[in-house]
Amino acid sequence: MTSKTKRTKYLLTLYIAGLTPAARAALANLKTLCQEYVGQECYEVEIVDINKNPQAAEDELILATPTVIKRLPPPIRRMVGDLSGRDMVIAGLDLKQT
Amino acid sequence: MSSTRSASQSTGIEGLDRILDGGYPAGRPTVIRGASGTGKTLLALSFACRADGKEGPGVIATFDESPNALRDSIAALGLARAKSAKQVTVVDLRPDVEQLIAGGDFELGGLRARIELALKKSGTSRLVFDSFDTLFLAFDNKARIYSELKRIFEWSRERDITLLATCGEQTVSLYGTGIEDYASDTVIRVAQEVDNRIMTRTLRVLKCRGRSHSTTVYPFSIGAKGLSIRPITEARMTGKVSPRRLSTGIATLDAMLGSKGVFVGSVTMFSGQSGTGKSLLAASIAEKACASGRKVHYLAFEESPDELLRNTQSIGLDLKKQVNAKRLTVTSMRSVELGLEEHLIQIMDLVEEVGPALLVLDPVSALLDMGRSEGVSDVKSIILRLMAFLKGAGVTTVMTDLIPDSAAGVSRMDISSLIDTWIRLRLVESNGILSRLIHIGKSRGLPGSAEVKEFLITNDGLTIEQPYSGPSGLVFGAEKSAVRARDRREYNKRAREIQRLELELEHERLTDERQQTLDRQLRKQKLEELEARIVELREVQGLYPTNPL
Repeated sequence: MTSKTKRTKYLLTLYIAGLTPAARAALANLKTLCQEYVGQECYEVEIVDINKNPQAAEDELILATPTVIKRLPPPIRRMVGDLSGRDMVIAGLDLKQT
Repeated sequence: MSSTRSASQSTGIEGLDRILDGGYPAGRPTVIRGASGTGKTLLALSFACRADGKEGPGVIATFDESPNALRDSIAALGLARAKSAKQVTVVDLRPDVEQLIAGGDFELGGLRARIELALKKSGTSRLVFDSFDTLFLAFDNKARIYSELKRIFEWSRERDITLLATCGEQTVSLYGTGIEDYASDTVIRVAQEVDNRIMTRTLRVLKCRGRSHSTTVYPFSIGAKGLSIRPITEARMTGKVSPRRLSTGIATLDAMLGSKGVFVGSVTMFSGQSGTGKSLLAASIAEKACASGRKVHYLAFEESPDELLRNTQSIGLDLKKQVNAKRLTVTSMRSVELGLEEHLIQIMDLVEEVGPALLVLDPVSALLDMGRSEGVSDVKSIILRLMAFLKGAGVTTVMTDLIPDSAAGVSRMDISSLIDTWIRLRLVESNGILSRLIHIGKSRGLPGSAEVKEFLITNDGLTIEQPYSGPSGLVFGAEKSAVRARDRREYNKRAREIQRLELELEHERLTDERQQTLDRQLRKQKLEELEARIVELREVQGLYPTNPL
């Protein structure tokens, strides 16, 4: 019970440019890894389609898609690609197994 | 569609528009390739920032330099004079060096979305990609970058965007074929060439699908006002001809040229060894033109502006006054600093900027010093193009030509055929004194004097005098007065002798006449006496009877 309050909340934003194969793969890979390492209640993924909201891409200087940005917990991290490199994603986004 | 396809978008550089037959093909991608420091970004900025009546500034997508650095370049190159240049949109597309890549499948979706947004906001169809090849360094999956870039090039075509993309030379060497080979219709290559330790920037159109373009290697220069390129089309003989004249500032020289000086818009060259007074003559014409309200530019290759002003002061020419009155501008150019073509471009830019009625090039032969590997014929062709340009612009040109002492009085320039008025100066030594001589080598359309005259540099200015011609031949310079005095003395001596002899002769003649009169009188008296005696005796004889015996 006490561990619930201590558990870190992950806030992730996934920038995609339409539902391309890479975007689908990235979303699936991200969800799988989060379920596995962070747990159901402890992460939130916001999806931004920059084709619909290009200003968001400009604000975050997004170049390639898909790009995932880990906003919380700090530090902010960015990762590009379909997130198929499992170990890299875990290390890069600092996903802690609970 | 076909009409937009054949249309052009001005490059923002006049000379390049002429080379490309109007500009970059509208609605198509053009790639500018070149190593670092060749001026590709400047070409791109000139295109994005060019002043255009209707359309706003273009969009610059930067992949390498920071947006602030690009804005600084725009300001430094004077491109920001156009109001629109300050409002140019810069999209920062630099790959994030800290970003991690997990998985090879990705698109450049952000790039396209952000560019579309920027184009929409600025309402332009002009787009620049600066150093897009940086993407190849940031992503491991080169094949993906390739296909993504190709898609973006295709997309720009569909959207009728005129895309100007710059990239380095290494894309070709690193990845086999350059993206430009299949993705763009037009490829321009810029380079730096070093010859004789002088760097020249060059530009060449490698391909331009479906339209005519020039294939020559064009030198260009980057000056304070951006990039300048001068295709040879300037060499057309279209100069307007003026019957008006420009005084040389020396009445006697004007007289030698048929009383009024040289033609406005003509080319005059003063040839002579060092110390013959070429620069002073040129300065004299410059001063005279200023005094008559004309704008003059003096381009000195071997003196600094201050040196020129001081040196001409010594003969009483107040050029400083004309500089202060803003009628005269003086600049110095070191002939060793730039290649020939760059000199030509800079002089042409200068003339267009200053807009002088008279241009002085002192000495134009300095251009030979850089032509060692290029050869005299190159210098000649450069000067030919310059003369054609100046005549086209209606600028009267005065240039000096330094003849080295070793050349035995023969001009190295070999361009007399390009010159309208050729005035030759030389030094003559007699009895240890040097004199300056001047004569008209040729004067197109003017009744040039055939006489050799003497040219004097005094504290009060320049004068041209008739040489002294005595029984011992032509005498010049300081010797002139001595010889003249000696000749006068001898002349006078003889004159006095003649006078004396004449008096003596007169005297003798008079004496002779008097003697003759006297003699005649005596003889007459004698005759009369004899006659009287005869009469007397006859009378006595008459007293006697005839024959008394």
